[in-house]
Amino acid sequence: MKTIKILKVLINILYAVLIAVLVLGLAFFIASFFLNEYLPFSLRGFNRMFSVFNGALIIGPLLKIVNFILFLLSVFYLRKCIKPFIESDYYSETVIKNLKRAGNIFVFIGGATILIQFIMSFILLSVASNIVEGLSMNSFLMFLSSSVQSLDVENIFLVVIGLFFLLFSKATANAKDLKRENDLTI
Amino acid sequence: MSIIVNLDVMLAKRKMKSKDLAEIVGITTANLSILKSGKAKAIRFSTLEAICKALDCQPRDILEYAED
Repeated sequence: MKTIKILKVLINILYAVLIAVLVLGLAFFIASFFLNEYLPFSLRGFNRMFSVFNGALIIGPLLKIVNFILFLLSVFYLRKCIKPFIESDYYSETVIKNLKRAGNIFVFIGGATILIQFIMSFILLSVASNIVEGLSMNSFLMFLSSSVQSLDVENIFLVVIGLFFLLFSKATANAKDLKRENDLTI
Repeated sequence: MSIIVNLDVMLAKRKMKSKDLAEIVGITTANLSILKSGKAKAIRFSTLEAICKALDCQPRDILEYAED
């Protein structure tokens, strides 16, 4: 019970912080476009980022924004699981559904980031090897180098956690069926 | 389900009410209703034994197998 209470407090704090960051980010984004001259000098010119960055390079920041929104969504789903946990209703449909959703999102965020990072570093390496003399790399070496650069612990951990959530969801669904069968044993 | 529960028939034969049987057997009327309606997934030997004792009958009088 103590664990659930701590979890509830932490997840509420995390959710509130993420919402605050989203609201402030949106406000800054809108302000940089419409109220640029009123912003502090160091923050001006943010809107020029979109004209400076061309097609391929915008993917990085855009992916970060999408990942942040998806992460917020997954925390929202995990938050929904807390109420049944407090009521000791561990095998409810809400828990199964939301754990599955959160798991899918975590796997997507981790997998997509690894993939995009791999593609980006591969593109950058091929561009660099064309520009810089003496940096001629064969495709296998470039593939190896891109793989090492794209596989960071954070994203792998995110995929692992996502898969764990998916497994928990499946286990809970199984437990729900067993509980139903037990309840219908007279 | 191909297992038919004839508890209603036995209760009528013994002129006993469901509520009384539930009390004797030591189960709730809700659970007895689940058993009577055929919604139950399983029955414990101890429950079956108690029902047979209360109704003075054999398990075959309560449970019947019929092909789908």
